[in-house]
Amino acid sequence: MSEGTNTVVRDVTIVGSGVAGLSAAVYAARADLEPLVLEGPEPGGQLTLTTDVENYLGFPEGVGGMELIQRGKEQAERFGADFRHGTVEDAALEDRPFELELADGDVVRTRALIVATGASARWVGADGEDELMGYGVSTCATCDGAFHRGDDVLVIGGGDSAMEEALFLAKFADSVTVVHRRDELRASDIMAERARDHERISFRWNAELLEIHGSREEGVTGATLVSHPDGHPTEKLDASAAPRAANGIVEETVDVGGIFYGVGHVPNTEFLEGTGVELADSGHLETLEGMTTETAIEGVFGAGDVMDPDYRQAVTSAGTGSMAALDAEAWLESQSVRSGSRALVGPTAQS
Amino acid sequence: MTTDATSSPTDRPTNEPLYVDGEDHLEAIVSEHDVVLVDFYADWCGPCQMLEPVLDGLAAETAATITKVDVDSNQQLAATYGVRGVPTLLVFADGEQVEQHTGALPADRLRSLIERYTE
Repeated sequence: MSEGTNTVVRDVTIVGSGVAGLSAAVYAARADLEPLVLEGPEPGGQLTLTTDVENYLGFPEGVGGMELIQRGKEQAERFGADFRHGTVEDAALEDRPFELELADGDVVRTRALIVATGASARWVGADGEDELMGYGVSTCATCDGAFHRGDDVLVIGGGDSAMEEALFLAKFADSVTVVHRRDELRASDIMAERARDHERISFRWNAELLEIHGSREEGVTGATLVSHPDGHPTEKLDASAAPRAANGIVEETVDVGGIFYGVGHVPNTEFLEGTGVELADSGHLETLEGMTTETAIEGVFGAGDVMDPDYRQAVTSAGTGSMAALDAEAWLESQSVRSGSRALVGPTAQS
Repeated sequence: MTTDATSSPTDRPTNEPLYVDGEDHLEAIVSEHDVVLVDFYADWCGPCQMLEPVLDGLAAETAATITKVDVDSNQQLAATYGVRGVPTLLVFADGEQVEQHTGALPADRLRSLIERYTE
């Protein structure tokens, strides 16, 4: 499998196989660039963890996240995209062609690079989560919800994904308590209303998860929550050495069998640190000013949640994915015109 | 590497995943094969579906036997092993459970997890 990976130079390599990577792959493949798609540690990306997508254009009845991804992959393969299991550990972007070092030691060489590595679920940082993640603590309600039939569970977070998790879990759990650090939700009105109207879902405002109780053998048995009337209780814990009660901080222990995280996502850009691609403080890849997917390094493009801290929709990721492929195609063409070589289309060059 | 997948149950690894039906069946597989990777999965789980082609590949390419347990039709078995999420991956070597992980793993990490015991 690995033979030849060092000598082949791809025109376009797409890192990531979520909706942004797949959309880039469809466009690049239709432009005969024969893109390589490195699927990454979470193939299919965040959509594989969702239930129905109700706001993707063209599906009036909604479409399953998994179905959308599988159809997208088929579509990209139909036009000649080449998929490979692999995670990029390190990128050398100062010389050309670019070199990507994979976790299994292989090296991929490519002229243009589309970064579509998305974002992965953020952990809360509560005591006990390292030990109990996968043993009752979860970032994927659709994966693990069915193991909590008859349980009382917590959902941590106040955005759309937390509401979606709560609504899904309410099918199985006896009670779902949404723990949110403020007193109002960030979720869209339609999702917030559905959660509020659900008889098995309740809300714990101005509260945060401090500690998770349980063991790998027993699973999660309970949790310690802290709350403060003004919200963000753990910040107040951290900021003051005074006794908790004096600060108005209330600590309580609840019995729960499952804890689900819906506290947002962290962009997957670690492998780009020190490469010259600019990263925001949040970790997001920064594209150049204006309507483009170009980055500070010519030939490197960004698409999807990795470069988008604001919109983060399936449909916007598909949009920026297609933009990245078009930008990459135009850039490759400009390179070939400048060097006077043949247009960089068709089979990848062998050295 | 053994390539004969058509022979009757032996201690040789199989090249395709085996579907487990009940606890006795799993125990028999674990005792008959040197290294066994067990995938507790569900049809409704996205990451499980993404893992499927990876496991098919590992069944063919490694010396381990890959088995799959549908948690919906084997709820008791899943509970016995403390499965609280899917996919949950267990590795058995010489009849003993040596690894447990919940959540999908990248192909290369799964391969090295297996090869720790097969090589």
